[in-house]
Amino acid sequence: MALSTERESVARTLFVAAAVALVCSVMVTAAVFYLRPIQAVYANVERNRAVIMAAGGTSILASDSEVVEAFFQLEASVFDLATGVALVSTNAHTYNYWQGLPDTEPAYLSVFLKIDKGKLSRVILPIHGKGMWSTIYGFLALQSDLNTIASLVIFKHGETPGIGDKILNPEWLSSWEGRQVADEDGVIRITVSKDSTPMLEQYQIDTITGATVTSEAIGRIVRRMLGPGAYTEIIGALHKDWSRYFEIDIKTG
Amino acid sequence: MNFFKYLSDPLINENPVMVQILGLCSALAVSRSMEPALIMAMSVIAVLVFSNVVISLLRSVIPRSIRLILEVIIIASAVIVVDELIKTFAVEVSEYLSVFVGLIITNCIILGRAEAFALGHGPLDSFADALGNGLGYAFVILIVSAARELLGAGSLFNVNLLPLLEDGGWYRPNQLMLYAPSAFFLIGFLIWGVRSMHIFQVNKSTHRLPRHL
Repeated sequence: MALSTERESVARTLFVAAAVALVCSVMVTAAVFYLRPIQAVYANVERNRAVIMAAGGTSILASDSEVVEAFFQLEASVFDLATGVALVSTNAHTYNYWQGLPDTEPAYLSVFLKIDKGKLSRVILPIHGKGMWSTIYGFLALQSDLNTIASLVIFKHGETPGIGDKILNPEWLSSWEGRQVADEDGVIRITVSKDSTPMLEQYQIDTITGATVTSEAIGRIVRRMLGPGAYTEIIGALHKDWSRYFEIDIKTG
Repeated sequence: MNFFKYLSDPLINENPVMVQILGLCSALAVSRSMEPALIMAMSVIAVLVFSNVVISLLRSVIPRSIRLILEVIIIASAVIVVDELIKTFAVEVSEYLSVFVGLIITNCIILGRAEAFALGHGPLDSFADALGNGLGYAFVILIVSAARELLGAGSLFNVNLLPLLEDGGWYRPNQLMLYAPSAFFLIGFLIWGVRSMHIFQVNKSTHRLPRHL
């Protein structure tokens, strides 16, 4: 076949290659540039959806606007993990508490409260930590005694599909509900374990067959987040007088 | 009237999956349920139409020596844009689909149409050819995913149609349908069925495939 020599010249070839590459890269960059901010907004909505699911309010099928509305009905405060002091000037509803992860451990975390008729109904705590391969993010909700687990929601993980992702199993997640975190002396007892110890059942969640490592990792994450260096100070402070840390107008006292 | 011939031929007579046996990897991978299959089909159509039209417009400019790499650049850029769009507007499906969307680049149908058609035809004909082939691909994976989801999970588009045994109904899901090999069987049945019906038509047309196929 006779090739057009002009079309096949080196200069022409280089020029066409560069031009196509340039146009394509502009197209890709533009798509990413314009879509990333929208993706961030949706990612925020999904995170807030997990918060209100932990609060027990809404189903996973709620529309985005319902999610946003329910989310802003929760009370929120940002706490300093080291001191247990609330940062009043920070807007806890929009604060990006996981922003440094997985590289830097956050020093401040948002805590969400669900209030029913002036009474504390649930405390929702963002939790995070290492799974088998990935950093797992979720929300743990405690009942008003701050010791009984109300619900556990896994928001994001990178565990093996079909194996580690069994931690999303609704039955297993609901087996956390009603379990106790600490005993009367304040010792954290909650654990995920293969064996069942008599008298300690209220602190125990079974491992998942086929996802032992990841489900035990969830247990470690919960223990670590509720333990010293994380939420211990905050839970203690909330125990004394939770309303102090939130800008709430409580008429019933 | 070439436009309509280019558009309609790939639907059944020269279907890229059933006749040319292209694009099988993704047809197996994403046909477990209908929602991802539909989004995958739409993505492939979008990428195919875009790349075919652009390559057709550039066909007199593209130097032969770097023809393939330019085609791949154009296809890959389109795929990235589509992937970002899915990540933005179908977040949940994207978690299941994302790796396969990236692999649209390697879907043989797309490079196949660029090479076999767009390099030698005008943009309008290339548009018709791309749309036809995309719809032909969509036709197959939608049928396969409908069968797999209905038999494997008793539902279509996540809406339960056959009451499952575990929820007190009567249908016991066929687990095989949830695994990729079932798509092989289903596509095999489709090819058998369509060829049995169309053997007469295929012989009369100017089909260029050898007769034993």
